[in-house]
Amino acid sequence: MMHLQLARKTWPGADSAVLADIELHVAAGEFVCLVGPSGCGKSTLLALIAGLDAEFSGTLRASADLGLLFQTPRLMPWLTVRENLALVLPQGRCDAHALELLAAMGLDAATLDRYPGQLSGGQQRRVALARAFAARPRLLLLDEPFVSLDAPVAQRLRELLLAQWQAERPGVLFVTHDLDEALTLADRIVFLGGAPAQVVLEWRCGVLRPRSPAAVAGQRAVLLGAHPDLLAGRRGCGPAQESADG
Amino acid sequence: MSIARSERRLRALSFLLLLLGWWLLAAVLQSPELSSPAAVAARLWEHALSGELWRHLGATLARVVASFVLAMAVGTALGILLGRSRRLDVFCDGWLVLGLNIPALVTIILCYVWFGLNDVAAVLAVALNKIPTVVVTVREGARAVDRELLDVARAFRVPRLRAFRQVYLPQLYPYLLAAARSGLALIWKIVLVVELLGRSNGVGFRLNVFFQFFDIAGILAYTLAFAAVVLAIEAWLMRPLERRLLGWRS
Repeated sequence: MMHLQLARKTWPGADSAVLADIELHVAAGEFVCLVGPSGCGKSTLLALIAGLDAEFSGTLRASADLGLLFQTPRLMPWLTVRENLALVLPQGRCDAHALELLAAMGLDAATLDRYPGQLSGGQQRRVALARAFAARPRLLLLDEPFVSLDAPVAQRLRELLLAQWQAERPGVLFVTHDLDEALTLADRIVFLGGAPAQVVLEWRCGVLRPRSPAAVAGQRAVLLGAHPDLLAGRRGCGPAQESADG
Repeated sequence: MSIARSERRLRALSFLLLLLGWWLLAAVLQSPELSSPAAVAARLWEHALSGELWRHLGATLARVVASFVLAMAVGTALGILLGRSRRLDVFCDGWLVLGLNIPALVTIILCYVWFGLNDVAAVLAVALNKIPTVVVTVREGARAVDRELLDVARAFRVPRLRAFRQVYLPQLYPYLLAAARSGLALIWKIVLVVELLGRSNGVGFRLNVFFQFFDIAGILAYTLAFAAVVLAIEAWLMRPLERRLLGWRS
């Protein structure tokens, strides 16, 4: 589905690398979370995998059937909800699947012909989530999609994401700095840390979904008990609290 | 009363006031150098009936359309290129400043000398005058294009032509409309000069003839006729187009 062997990623003009020696894979249907302190290069890594940045040394094999969800909705403000979905579909117009998705996201028929500017922030995220799934991607890349949202809204969107993932089973790579979010969602968590960032630890989450807050807290205790300096990225790439906060 | 209706009434009122002022001034002066609105209307009617008016209006309009399309097409393409490439922008900057500052009259004379007294030279001269301002406006838009939205199209593997039309171009629409608006006003003024200097039909040519006979009513009649054409284009083409392209903003 996706396999990345990254030797080095350096910004033009910079001496030191942001990312080095990272091997990362996502199996078909697998939900992988990528956790690391803010600013350690997670988004950079995701942009590489999305094919937006080819300036790195290493090899990347990734499905071309991609769906993405960014930190902000990034809808085209001049296209209606329907047109925003049609934009990313191969035939250029909404099919039944796309309309079902919008309905599954709780967007009624009246919103289809609205412009993003006429929707609430939460509705825009739902449209963006529907767009990510619209073309039946085999690989879904999500870059901290639920930050800066009210906790209940974020919680609802996580549930929608999980439901849709379980229905269609794309491989997922979900970037977050929130450990609890990762423990709630992932099959496997990959921790990044250090400068240049490297893989610090991989962790399998065996707990069945849906996972209760208590189960997540339990997992968190086990994980941090075994690796107390995990969230500091071991070699330090940002304050520990930044990543430990929910 | 709706806002739109009250605004329409305000527009009509201001126009009527202008007409009234003109009529009063002509009545007070009683001079052959300022014809009354009635005299101008009579001249307009006379030329409309003889077909003379339509022939010249048509010739001018054809030149306006040709130069407008040429200037917008070339100016937009160049503007996008310069907005995308810093090096090309630096390279062409001097030419652009030169182009913006060459008087229209110079371009017109040179085109007539180099390409002969024909319509190709006429249209080319007008377009050359307008292209630099289109380039500058569109370049501004191309520089302001939102990279994040372009990345969405790239990441989702949106076909290039569709991405250009639905993601890139809409970001330029406000700039293209601004260029088109100012372009129309500038172009028809320059077209008249081109016609006056080297064509044997069109409003500009006719104005020259009126000038030689000191026929003020004729000059005003043709000016008003063409101004009406430009206003009609603005009302029935530009404004609906703007509503269609920028409707999402409201």
